[in-house]
Amino acid sequence: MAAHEDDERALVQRLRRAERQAFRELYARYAQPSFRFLRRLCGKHALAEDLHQETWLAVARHAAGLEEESDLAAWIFTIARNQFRSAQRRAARVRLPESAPPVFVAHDDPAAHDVEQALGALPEGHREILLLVGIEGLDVGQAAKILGLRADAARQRLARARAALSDLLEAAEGGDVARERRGGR
Amino acid sequence: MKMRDRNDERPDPLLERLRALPSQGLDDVTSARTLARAEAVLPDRGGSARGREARAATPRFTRWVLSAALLGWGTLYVWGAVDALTRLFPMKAATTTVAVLSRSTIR
Repeated sequence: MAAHEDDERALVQRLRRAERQAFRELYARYAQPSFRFLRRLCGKHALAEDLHQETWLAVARHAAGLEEESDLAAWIFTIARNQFRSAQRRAARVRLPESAPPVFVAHDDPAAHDVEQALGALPEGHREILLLVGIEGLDVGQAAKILGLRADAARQRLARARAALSDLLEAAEGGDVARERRGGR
Repeated sequence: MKMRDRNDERPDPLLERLRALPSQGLDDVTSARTLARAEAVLPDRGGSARGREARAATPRFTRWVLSAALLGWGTLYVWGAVDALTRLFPMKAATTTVAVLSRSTIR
């Protein structure tokens, strides 16, 4: 963990010096995680691509102004989340005609499909914290920073989100079992 | 990226299940295009370094003196305004008190 922190601190230093290679390393490390997060947050592939591009443009603009002790993962996910929220506000202001509903990633594996569906059905606040902690592997402190919460509030939200997801999965799996039984008859 | 294992000692099966989800990533072409666009707005190294050096070169003493001068000017301004207002609108209650006292002195 200490080696990782040293490595991250060195990367921050190089970003502060606006080193192009450091920016490429940052992109290699966080481009896919930030896209995954946005894809599952907004439920639309094309929109996620646009938001991802906006996120990285903002990262590039502000990389040289990073604080020495910056947490890169928290910083990038915060920018990504802000881009998503700005897009939501813009959409609400313009009152666009209702576009296609969010499509959560489909899988061939029915169990994975159920999890994706359940994630998509969760309220946004619950989905955000599960994406950050569950899928992206951030710790609760980092998730709290990204979501603008206190650590204990984030922990509570995670517990509630986890319980809600568990309920949805149980319901979905119960439905699957019932369907299998009906099919067997 | 920092991993979550600091949160709990025991692995959470539900979160493990989430982490095991296969994900639909960003395709290489879009990824390369995004990187190219982002690099285009990256500030040039010389400019950024020059800016930081210029900020660091501003002596702390000068900044302190400037702040003190602003504070002094602000204090004088407020004091002047209060003084002018008290001259324009003298406190009537105090005048009345003086009158009462002087009448009692005459008797």
